[in-house]
Formats: sequence, C-alpha cells, structure tokens
Amino acid sequence: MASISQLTSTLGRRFIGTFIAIVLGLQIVVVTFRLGGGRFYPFVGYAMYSRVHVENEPIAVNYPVFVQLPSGEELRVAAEDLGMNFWKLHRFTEMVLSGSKDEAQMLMSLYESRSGRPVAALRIASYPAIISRDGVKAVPSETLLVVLRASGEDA
Amino acid sequence: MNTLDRVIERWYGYWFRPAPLFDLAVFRIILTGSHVLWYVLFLHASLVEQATTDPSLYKPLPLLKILTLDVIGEPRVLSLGTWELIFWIAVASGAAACIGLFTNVALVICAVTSNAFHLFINSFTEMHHPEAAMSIALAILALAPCGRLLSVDAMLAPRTSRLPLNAESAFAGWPAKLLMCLFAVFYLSAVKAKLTRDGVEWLNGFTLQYYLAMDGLRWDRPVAVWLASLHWVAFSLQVAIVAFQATFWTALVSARLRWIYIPAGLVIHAGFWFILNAPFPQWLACYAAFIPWWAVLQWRWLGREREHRVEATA
Repeated sequence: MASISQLTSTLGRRFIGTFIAIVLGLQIVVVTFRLGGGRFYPFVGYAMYSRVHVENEPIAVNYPVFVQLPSGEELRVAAEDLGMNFWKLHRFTEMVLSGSKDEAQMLMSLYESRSGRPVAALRIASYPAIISRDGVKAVPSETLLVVLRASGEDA
Repeated sequence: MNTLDRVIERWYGYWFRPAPLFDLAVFRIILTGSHVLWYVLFLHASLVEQATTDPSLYKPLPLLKILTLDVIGEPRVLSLGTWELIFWIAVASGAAACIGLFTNVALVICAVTSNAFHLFINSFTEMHHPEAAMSIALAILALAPCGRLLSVDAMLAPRTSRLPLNAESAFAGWPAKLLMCLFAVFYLSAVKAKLTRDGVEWLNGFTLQYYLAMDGLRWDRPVAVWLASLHWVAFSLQVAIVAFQATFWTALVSARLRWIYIPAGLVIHAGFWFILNAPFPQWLACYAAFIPWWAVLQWRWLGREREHRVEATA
C-alpha cells in the first residue's frame, strides 16, 4: 500500500513539475518575444500604460469620429451607431490613425449598413485637451485625419 | 547522482515542500467566489454586448478555433444560446468549486469553460488582460488538493480519511509559489515594456499625469484628474510603481518581504481600480494565494485563545 502511494506521489510530482515548467515557460516566452494579439491567451503580455507621454501632448481620452454625408452634412458617430462599445471604436480609430485604410473603409461601410445613409468621408478629430505640468489644459479640437469613402484617399 | 539529477531534485524540493492545506482551501474559496460574483454581476453584460456586435468584427483567437473545432474555412460564430450555456456552466462549476463539491472536477470544467468564454469575448478586436491570470489560476487549482479541507467533499469523506485543519501536504504549496512566480514575470514584463522603449524617459512625471488625466476624464474620476495636476506626486508614484514591479520577485525568496509586497500590491491594484477605473479584481483574488491564512489564523485567534487560557489560569 505504501509503495502505491509512493508511486502516485512520484508520478504526481513529475506531472505537476512538468505542468509548472510549461506554464512558466509559456508566460516567459510570450512576454520576452512580445507574442501579442491574444494568440497564446491566457498567456499574454502586460504592457499597459507603458508608452511615454510628454508635456503639452494631446490627451487621447477619445477620438471624436464624424461621417460626412454626400450633402456636406457632418454627423458625430457614437460607438453604438456601429454596433460597438467604447473600446472597439477606440481601437478601430487608433488603427485608422496609424494608417490602416481598410479599417477606415470598414467603419464607413458599417455606418452605411446600420444607418442606411451613404457616407462620403470619415473625419477623426483630437480630444480638446493637453497635459501640462499643472494638469489638464483645454485646447481647441483639431482634425487629425480625413478619409474619403470612394477612393480611400487621405486628405 | 549527476548534475541534471541534482537540478531536478532541487526543482521538486522547491515546489513540493509540505504546506498547509488550509491556505489552499481558503484561496480556492476566495478565487472561485470572486469568479462567480464577477461573472454574475459584470460579465453577463459583456456576453449580451458581443451578441449585438457586428459579426464582421469577429476574429476568433487560435485557441478558440481549436476548442470550437472551427479550424478550417471562414470563422463561424457560435450562437448566443451556446455561449449563454457555456457562461452558466462556468458559473455553476465555479460555485461548486467554491463550496468544494466535486472540487477538482468542478475546477477543470470551470477553467475550460471560463477560458473559452474569455477567448470568445477577446475575439472581437479587444483584449481584456485581468481575466487571463484568473484563467491560469483556475487551471492551477484544478490540479491541486484544494478540496481536502473546508469543502463538501471533506464533509462527505469517510471519518477515517478526514483531515485536521492543520494538515499539510507536499502538493499544497506549489500553486501559491507558481502564481507568485507568474506575477513576478507579469510585473517584470511591465517594467521591461516601460523602460525598454524609451529608457528611463517613462519616469518623467508627465506620463502618469497623462494616464491619470486620460482615464479620469474618460471614466469621470475626479480624483484622478486632481492627481494629474500634481506633477511631483505623479513622478513619485511612477518611481514607486516601477520599483515595486521590478523587485516583486524578491518576495519569492523572502517570507519577510511578503509582508511588504503583498499589502503594497493589494493597495496598488485597488488604487488602479478606484482611481483609474482599471479594475483587476481577478488579480486581487489571486493575491489571496500569497497570504499564509493558517499562520494568520493561529496568530490572531489561537494566540488570543491561549492568552485567555493563561489569564484564566492566573
């Protein structure tokens, strides 16, 4: 009986010891080689809040998104208009701002299909505030990017 | 015995040193209890939200594709009903694990279903980090003897195999050690991300002022916006956070340092939650693994009982 429990214990140690090595190894590999995007979820990197920010930098609380209709009318787009939450729209807007034209066209096509209105262009603006030594300072909002619907050409 | 054997022996010696089963049982109750609460109170809303999200945004993560046998061709979204079922299985198995009913089986089911659920939630272009640690912690507990005490399983066990509250096991200590190692890796990777991109420039005071202002304005947190106006406070907090994250691993080698790092970590994560609206309740629950509950209980209650006994004798 003693030998059976000893064998179970030895096998248990080997199994758990291997499990520990795999779990630790995966986590170390994912963070060392920055294998992001959730490809190895639940082993993920923790690089939140890691970007450097400087004095007088515009604060990206959100990026106000507008669609321009063929009539010239401009409408503010809410996340719900696109069937998204705050984070999804924020991520998409960041992708558009970093140069992804596909995402810009996708946002416009989503708006068209959900609202039934044709879109001529998409405009993304900055949040009207910057960070200063004394805290938040209000500034006028500026246009960051305009993408046309038909050609996807940047203005 | 050659060098490799000696390394393996030391490896096992480190992980399988006898530890109180009571600590593991308390950790199980806290982790699974908070898992159930978080799911019922907050995560069900996420499920409903994904159901109303445009299907074109669905980009299933690789592990989800494997779990749902959806490896070839265009991704297909499982119906809301299926995910609703998976969600409630994760809740029910978490509740069973919390009370210690078929503990390890319940934990395996809970770990698999909750991981699948988070993979689904994270397949819509946004990544939620806090739940990842919880998913790993549930899988770790599933392989540990965490239902041997304070559980229905223990109550239903034959009288001869019931264990006293101070029982120890060689398999009771590794989950806490592994989680602490993982947290050390999480924190070191956070430091690496902060300091490798632009060197020590991250520690300029403005960076934390920016994040405080951004989250304060975004989530309507007046305390965060106020703190963003205090440059030197922000700078000091940045230095303190990096120092904490860079040296958390020392708690692995020193039991005394745990008395500093564990309360400090709890304060930091609670602070992120209430000031920045960056909730990491799963991490707070994981910290329960680092607390020596049996030693605390002995010191707090049994010590007092002993004092009473001494007084009564006198």
